[in-house]
Amino acid sequence: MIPAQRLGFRVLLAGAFLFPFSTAAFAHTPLRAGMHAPQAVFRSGKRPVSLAAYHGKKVMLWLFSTWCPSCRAGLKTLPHEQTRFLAGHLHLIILENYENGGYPGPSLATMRNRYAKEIRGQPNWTFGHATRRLAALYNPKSYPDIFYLIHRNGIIQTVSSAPTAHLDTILDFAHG
Amino acid sequence: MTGRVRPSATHDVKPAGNRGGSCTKPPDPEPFVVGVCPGSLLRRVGAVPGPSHPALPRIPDFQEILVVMKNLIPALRETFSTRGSWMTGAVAFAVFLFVYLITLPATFTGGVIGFQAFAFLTPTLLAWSVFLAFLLAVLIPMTVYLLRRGYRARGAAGTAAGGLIVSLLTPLLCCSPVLPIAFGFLAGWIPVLAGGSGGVVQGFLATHESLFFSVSALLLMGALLWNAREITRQSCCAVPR
Repeated sequence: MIPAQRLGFRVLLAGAFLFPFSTAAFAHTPLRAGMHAPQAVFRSGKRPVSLAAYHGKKVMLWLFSTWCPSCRAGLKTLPHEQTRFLAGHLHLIILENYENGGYPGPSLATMRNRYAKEIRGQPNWTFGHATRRLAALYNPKSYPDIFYLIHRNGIIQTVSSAPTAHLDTILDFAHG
Repeated sequence: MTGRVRPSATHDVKPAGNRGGSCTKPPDPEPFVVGVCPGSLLRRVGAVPGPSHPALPRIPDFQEILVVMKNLIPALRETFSTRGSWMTGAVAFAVFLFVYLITLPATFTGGVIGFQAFAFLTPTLLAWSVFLAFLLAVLIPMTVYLLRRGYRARGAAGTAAGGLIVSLLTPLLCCSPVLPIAFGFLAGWIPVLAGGSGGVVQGFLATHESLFFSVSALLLMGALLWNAREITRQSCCAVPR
């Protein structure tokens, strides 16, 4: 192969390596599918809220950083499925990562008002900020975007990222 | 190429084999013999020992950059004078446009690439995809042209590879778990990388994507001008058949 072809082959190999690595990364988070979702507290407005309050409900717990484009895309996309979420009794808890993942970005309120105006006041949506302890449990590696689908019995069913890329998984969970 | 090396008959000569049109040859300090290209070709085959290469690449000055830019049109004319080059360029454009269209929107899918990425294409990403694919579509035929004639293309190929890698890796790294995992792994050796370092890097990548795409485009354009310089330099010395 001429040098340019060899180089192109190496670039393709690197991309092929990155792709499965990124999608399979969540198989190795400390909290995995099949484990009990640990109890923790987050802040909604100024008041502390415990995850224990959601026991018995189907929950999507989503931690994101406001500077993250996939998080913005998710916040734009999820409200369009509100009807199906209500039908499936899915409760969404949207939390800003502890210290916004270490990089400044717009506030959670700004994000909500800009991208998810239509779900304002909806009873199955809760916005808040992750506490240090919750982040240590649910996002110890400080991923910019990670969500957990937690069943009524408190067992984690799925750990993933980028809700827009995994919308089918979320909808299947809502209807399951 | 024909002609013998006659060190005793060196003298200043006009470039041989000028095929018409403007051919602004950069000043070549080496003496050379009529009918023999003194450039890299002879050094490649070991017939003439080359000058010692500097440890670091030399940054060209403004005059050289101007000369190089004037050489771009003749170089493009020379490269795309055959149907094969046009075909190579067309295929390269199609392939890289497809690659960019499924990769650049990975910034919205957390690093996941594939056909689903089309749903997240924005006008800005589409413009970047077309522009970067166009640069590669011009660059690859030029590189192939140089390599087929035994001329130097290593530097430009490396620069082009840098541009390609920067443009493809930026959307893959910005919002995927790759960097946090890598930083967590490296933190065992470099403790300062533990904590929020991964977030700082990813945050910067995510909020400055256009900057990285611009750097990538500049690298590709640099490779283009580099190749153009090599093509016009070598064609000024070509021996007429």
